[in-house]
Amino acid sequence: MRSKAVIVGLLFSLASFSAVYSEEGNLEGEIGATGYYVDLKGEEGGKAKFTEYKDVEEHWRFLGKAGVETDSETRFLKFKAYDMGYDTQRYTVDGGQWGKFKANVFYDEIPHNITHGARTFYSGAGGDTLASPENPSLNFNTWNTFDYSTERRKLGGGMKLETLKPFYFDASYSREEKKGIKPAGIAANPASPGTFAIEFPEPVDYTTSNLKLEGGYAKNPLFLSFNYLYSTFDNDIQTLRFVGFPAFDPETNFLTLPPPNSHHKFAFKGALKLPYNSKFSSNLAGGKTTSDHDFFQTFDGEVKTNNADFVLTSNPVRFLDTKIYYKHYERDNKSAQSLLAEPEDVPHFFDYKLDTFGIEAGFRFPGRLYLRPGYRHVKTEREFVGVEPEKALPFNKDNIYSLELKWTGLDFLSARVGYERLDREADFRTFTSDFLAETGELASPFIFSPQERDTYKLLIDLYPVEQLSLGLGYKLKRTDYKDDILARISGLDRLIGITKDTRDEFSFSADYNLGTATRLFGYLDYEKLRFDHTHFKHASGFSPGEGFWTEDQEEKTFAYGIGADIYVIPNKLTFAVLYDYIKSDGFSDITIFDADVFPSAGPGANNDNIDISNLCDYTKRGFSFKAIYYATRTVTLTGGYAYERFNFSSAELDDYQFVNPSGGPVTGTNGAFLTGAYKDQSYRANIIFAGLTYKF
Amino acid sequence: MRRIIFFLSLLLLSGAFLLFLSLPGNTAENRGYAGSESCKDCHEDYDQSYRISVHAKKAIPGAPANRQECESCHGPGSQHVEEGGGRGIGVFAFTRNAEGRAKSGKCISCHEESKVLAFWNMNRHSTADVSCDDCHSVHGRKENLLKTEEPDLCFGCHRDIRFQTNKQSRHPVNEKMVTHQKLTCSSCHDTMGGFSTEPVGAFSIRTSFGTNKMIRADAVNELCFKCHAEKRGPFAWEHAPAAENCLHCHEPHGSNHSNLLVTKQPLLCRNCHDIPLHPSQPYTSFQRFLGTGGGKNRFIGRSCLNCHQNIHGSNFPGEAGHVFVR
Repeated sequence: MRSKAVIVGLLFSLASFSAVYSEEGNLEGEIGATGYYVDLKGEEGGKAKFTEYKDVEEHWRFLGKAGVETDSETRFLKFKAYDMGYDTQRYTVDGGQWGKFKANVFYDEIPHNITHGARTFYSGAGGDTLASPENPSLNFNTWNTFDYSTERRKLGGGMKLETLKPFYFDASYSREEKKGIKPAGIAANPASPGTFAIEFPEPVDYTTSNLKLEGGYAKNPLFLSFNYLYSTFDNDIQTLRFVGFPAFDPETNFLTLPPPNSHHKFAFKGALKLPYNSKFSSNLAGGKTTSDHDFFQTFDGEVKTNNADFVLTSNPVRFLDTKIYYKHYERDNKSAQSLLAEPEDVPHFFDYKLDTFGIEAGFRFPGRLYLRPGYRHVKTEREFVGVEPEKALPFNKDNIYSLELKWTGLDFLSARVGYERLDREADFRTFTSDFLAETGELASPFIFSPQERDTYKLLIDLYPVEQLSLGLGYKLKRTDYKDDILARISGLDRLIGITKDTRDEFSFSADYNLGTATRLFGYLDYEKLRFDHTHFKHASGFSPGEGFWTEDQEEKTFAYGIGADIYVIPNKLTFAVLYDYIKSDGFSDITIFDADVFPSAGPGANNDNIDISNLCDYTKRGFSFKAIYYATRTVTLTGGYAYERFNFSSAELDDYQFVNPSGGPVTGTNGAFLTGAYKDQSYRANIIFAGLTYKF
Repeated sequence: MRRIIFFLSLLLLSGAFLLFLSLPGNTAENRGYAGSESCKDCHEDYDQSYRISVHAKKAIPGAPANRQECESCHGPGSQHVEEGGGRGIGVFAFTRNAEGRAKSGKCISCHEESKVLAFWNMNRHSTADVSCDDCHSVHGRKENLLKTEEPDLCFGCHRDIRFQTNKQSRHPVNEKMVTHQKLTCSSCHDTMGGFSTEPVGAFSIRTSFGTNKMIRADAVNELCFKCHAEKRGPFAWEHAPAAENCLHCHEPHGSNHSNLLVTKQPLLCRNCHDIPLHPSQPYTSFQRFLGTGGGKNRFIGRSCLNCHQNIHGSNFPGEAGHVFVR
């Protein structure tokens, strides 16, 4: 109903404006519709994956597109509509007087389909209460079905006043509703170790509103801008209640959902032109976010953020440009709670400060050579108020050096080469040893750990002949966590945690015009990622054994695409052909060094049979053929065929079971009740389409 | 403190350097204008595409239509006419290998007096010598005068990002078989200005080069919260990495793993949580659905999230909130 009202409103406004504008402006536009016949093969998960951001699940669809535009010497108006009546519909109206003002209104819908046909023993999916018998059926065929899917509906508009130049004023407002269901889960018993897991549908009923106001002055040498943002987030369902099951403790049979919040932000941006082609710019901002949750009413959430940027750029002579900058960003958690007194229960409020100093200089040398060295120092301070010392996050100091080179010395070639070095220091402050041998507690969070990172990149664009362009890219990134935590356990010294990660990327693209008859194009991409870890299995795991083990995770992804636009009859008939392919292969190489650890992996486990060979492995192929026939200057006919196939396999989803007893009763430790989230994502789709567009 | 003093000294020295520098900037061009009718004689197609463009609107103060039309951007053309034409002869031509800064300078001379381009000088595109005409064609009337639509326009240079957006988990920026993209690169990136001096790359395990990424916010999380306001909190129990920077765990351009996660769970979580109890347990092929190992419910399905649902933060009092299971 809402979308229909919006459509009527937009059309009405369009008609009103058109009546005014058509008197002096030219009117043009297009109306088109494309019919799709979709033959989709796959399980429910696959059907959702194919339509992840689309509304073309099965069989017939008629997606329309319309645009009307009027433009005169003084005024303009544009109306656009897409996918009318479907979950992907969008409408926009833009209009205004040239040099005086602009205004716009829009309405947009974005679906996100995750898994269709999910199952739960609970009733009430999508609501604030999930009810179940105390002993839910283990026969998942008797469970209720539902879809994991959300839909965003956003309505908004804005206005820009330019009539008082050099002063300007902008205002915009938007309101977005997001509704649907997403996957969620809880440990049945909130006390450690949690016993069994329960997956269930979490309701999504969010409303976000944003009001932005901006006023400013823009006349050289001065630019001033004052901004205000007021954003609210409302959640109609703040707690999800479980009735009947699980029955550990009625007091904990709730899941807290995101709290309503409001956010204010003031900002000032300014720039002043200085002599010698220099400019000083500044950005000062302060924000405050507050939240209140129905379930934890003695908690008052409040976070303040402050930002200050100062930048001086200069281009005094042709061969030199410089940039010096400083940034301060601060997140200050001012939240308070008055209910909990026990130290282990008191919430931990996280603060951090980021200070960045940087300098870059660009040198232009003869021969069209541009060299740009840079240096940045980043200091990050973190405070986790109330947290135990061993869980404190470190202060980081980063020194980042970069060098970029661009060469355009030849008319048929441009090349860019870059190198960056990151040296990160970590100061844990509160204790001398990062690894607490007595508890086995590891305080080596990877991104915060001391590390050295080298990144190299190369980009080449080549135009050997007028009709041919080639692009080549390579990037290599290596991070060594050299000073990672050294553990001394069982008489062994080892680095614990992530020890190394590497990333190699290669890309190639080509575009070739065979005279005026055909355009050929293609691309090829390859990426290899690897993360090396050393772990220590503690005696308090699932079995009493303890010792070291390693996990090296690797992902290889390969993609290519080729296509052609064939101008069979120039300006009359064109064939467009495209084939895309992407393949990902993930592998986890696990090695256990201490025999005591094998039992915790599983009976019969040894280093030859514990590796995981499929971590999000998938291939996706897509082919499309499209014929475009320009019947007249105003009528265009299209038609064609598309094919898409997606095969997905991952170790945590293969041989899926809704009820997983894990060698014991499903309600025992390590059991799980699942709903099928992300299950069976493979699909195959054949699509035939035909469309007509009329331009006027 | 020493670094701050060093930085301030550097700023002062830079200012002093500018004051004493006596080299002149670009000299003014005093050559004669030929008039747009002269241009039209040889370049009728360009003239036509200019006439329908926004630059030809006389209602816009300062538009080329109210100045020297073609010569507002290409410079005085009388010498070009006298010498019988030719690409770049006697006029400024926006050729592929012309200096990016010089080409952009023509546009900036007018558009700098707007909020869109007031900060072009510090923009990453500017410092990388990318010019306005790499993306825009000032002739014609395409949307925002872009040469092609996003994201293809951006992918011409950012091939690595094109690759990411083809992956199975992604934002809807590069969807096939749709009439329009739901998001564009410019939904998150301010390609023509903005401060964005946060060293984004330094906080992401996946993103290379820590130079600014031109995001439309003062910090990464502020950007993400524009669409994901439910993650904004503030929560009673905060997960520090989530409160600090979404990029610690998510790769926004695309990932092989669901929910744009940078690596597969439980490894992702174990990057930080290599502690007693179940996080230190090896999860192997024996923890699959049909495996015979213990602790499978930490691996199957949604892995760690099977129990630790509120990983972005929780408002449940006590330990259940502390460990994000309620």
